[in-house]
Amino acid sequence: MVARAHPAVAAAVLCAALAACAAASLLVGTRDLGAAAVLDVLRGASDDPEAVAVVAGQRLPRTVVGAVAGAALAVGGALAQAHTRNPLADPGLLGVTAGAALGVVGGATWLGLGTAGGAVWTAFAGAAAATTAVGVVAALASSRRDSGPAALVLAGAAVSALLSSVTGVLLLLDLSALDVYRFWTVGSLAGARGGEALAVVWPFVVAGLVLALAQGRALDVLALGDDTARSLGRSLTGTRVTGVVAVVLLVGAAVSCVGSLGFVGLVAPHLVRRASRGDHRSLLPLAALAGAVLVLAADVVGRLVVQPAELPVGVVLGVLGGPAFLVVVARSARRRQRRSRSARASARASARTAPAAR
Amino acid sequence: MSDLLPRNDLGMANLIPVIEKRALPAVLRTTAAALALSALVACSAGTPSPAVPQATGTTVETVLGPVTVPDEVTSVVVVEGRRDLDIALSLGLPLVGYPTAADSADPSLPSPLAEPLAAATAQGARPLFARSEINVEAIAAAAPSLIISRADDVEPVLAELQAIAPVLAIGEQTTSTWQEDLLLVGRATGREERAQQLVDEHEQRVADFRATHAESLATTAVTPVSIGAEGSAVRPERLLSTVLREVGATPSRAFAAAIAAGPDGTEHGPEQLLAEHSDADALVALVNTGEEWRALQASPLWQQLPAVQQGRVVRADNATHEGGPLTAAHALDLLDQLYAPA
Repeated sequence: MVARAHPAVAAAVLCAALAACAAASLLVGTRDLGAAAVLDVLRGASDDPEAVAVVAGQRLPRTVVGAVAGAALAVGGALAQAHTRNPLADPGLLGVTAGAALGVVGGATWLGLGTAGGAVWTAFAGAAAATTAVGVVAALASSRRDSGPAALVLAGAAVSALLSSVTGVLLLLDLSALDVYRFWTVGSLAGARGGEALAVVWPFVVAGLVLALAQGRALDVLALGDDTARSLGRSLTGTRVTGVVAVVLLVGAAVSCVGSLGFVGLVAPHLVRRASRGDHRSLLPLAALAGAVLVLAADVVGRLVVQPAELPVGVVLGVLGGPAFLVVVARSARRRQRRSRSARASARASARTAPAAR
Repeated sequence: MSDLLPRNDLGMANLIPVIEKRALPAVLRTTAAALALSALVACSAGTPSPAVPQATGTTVETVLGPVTVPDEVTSVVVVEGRRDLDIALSLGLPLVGYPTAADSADPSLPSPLAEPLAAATAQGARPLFARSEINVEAIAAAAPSLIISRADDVEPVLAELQAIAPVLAIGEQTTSTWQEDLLLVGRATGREERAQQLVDEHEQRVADFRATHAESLATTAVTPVSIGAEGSAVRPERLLSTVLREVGATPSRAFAAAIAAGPDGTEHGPEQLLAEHSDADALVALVNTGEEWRALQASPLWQQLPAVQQGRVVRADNATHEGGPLTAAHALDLLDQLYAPA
């Protein structure tokens, strides 16, 4: 329904879905409290300390963190896809996730930082350093005028692989960092870590969202190709740097809060791409809503499927994201085939009409 | 080139100069050399290396079959790093290599093996590889006369390890008790008396514990529970759980359910912490990192637990999940704290 709808309709549907997922996130859990008890806690009228601890201490923070992280990852993914002109790109492609993971493990190994507060900064520093490295390598590797996006993707893949290797070596040398690292690799909304981290990083999320939304028009122009964008007076370097900074702010903050949640940045923009009708000023906010819905829905599913235990949201997203990724690939392939058939038909039509014109 | 190749009974290395004398093209020479080398490797893998003499000594039956341990064990490598390491240290075996592992992710909780391992390290033992990342070459370089390990860990590389030294496979929580494995290793290494003495000492300490804390044991419902951000788990076969059962502790509802559920025990989401453990008068909290411990103590659900409110909580971590006599003694020390009168 969202896919082909008018952007305003799609936004309304996604807002309703987000409200439903948020409500489910507050009402559903491994501890069956009942809707009345949850509402009492939310109204501040509960005299059940356990219900208060569960709802206010756990469900409410993880709902807020999940929605914010999902939105940030989705917008980061949309930016990555726009800047690389690659529909299969996600923020990890720019080295952000690998950099954050190395920051976390390096902080634990070299600085002894195991707390959420400490790891937030090392994760951020790692994400920023990795993305800067990707940008520098891509700039040095760009020999052709139009090779920017491809160089960015290749540099991102190379830098990510290098950083992941270094992380692996550090983990082999210092196994005590594994417990700290495990959280980032799986991705989870459980526990107090996410809320504590969000209290620190929310300004970065806001800054990243503002930068991203301000880029909407520039991304539309960039989609026409580097040469066209240049001829329309766009500064490619300025646009790309702004985009990469926004990705670092958004994804660095999200990864600091919830770890590495795969597929959100990849899938969420695709869910709303058609509804946005190619307009990034619509795509980015719609992707944010879709990302929030995806993460909250996955978290609720994770609380239900293995009761009385829980599945981390990262695992659920991985299970759901794999098939979704395949759907995206298949749809992209079909679209390319259609475009190709259409181009061939146009060429044949031109060839038939050309002699007649002569 | 032939000088670089080890000679063996088949005389494969001698083929190389013959081929060279015939002045075959370089490609053929290279191919021949590769084939010869492959043949050497195949031969060495298929027959016992001359460097490993046919073992004579004590033969014991293990889960991986009979093993003959040399009469004089001069150097031991342990592969898994928990029960095997504990047994080797307890028996005073000449440890030369062990896997590195996080002694504890929280420096405030030293491993029960930390001190004896430091003493062994001072005697020449050294870490060979990260736990679960078995490095056969590093083990070979340590030239042990005996390898001890949990069976599951060495089974995939058993042939390679047996080419280095006899492999004495022991069990784990779900297959054998540490006492059985201790006696097995003691019998194999000529330290049966010492092994029996360690088992007797443990049994005596358990009996003393029962006598000292008889009333408290009868009236205190206890749970050994692992707690992390993702929830809590009760595993009835972990060493602290088995020691609790040995001393006759009264299981809480959650502990009894875990025992009934079998070796994997039970798991619950974070929201159920209070509901699951509200009947426990005392808790053994297994929390791995200092960060998780700090977060747990700040959790309102944790603070509402009766055992927490009464201050009847001791903390341990994953270093106590598995082990032998040293870890069991450490577990009894912790339980002494838990059951000591306020």
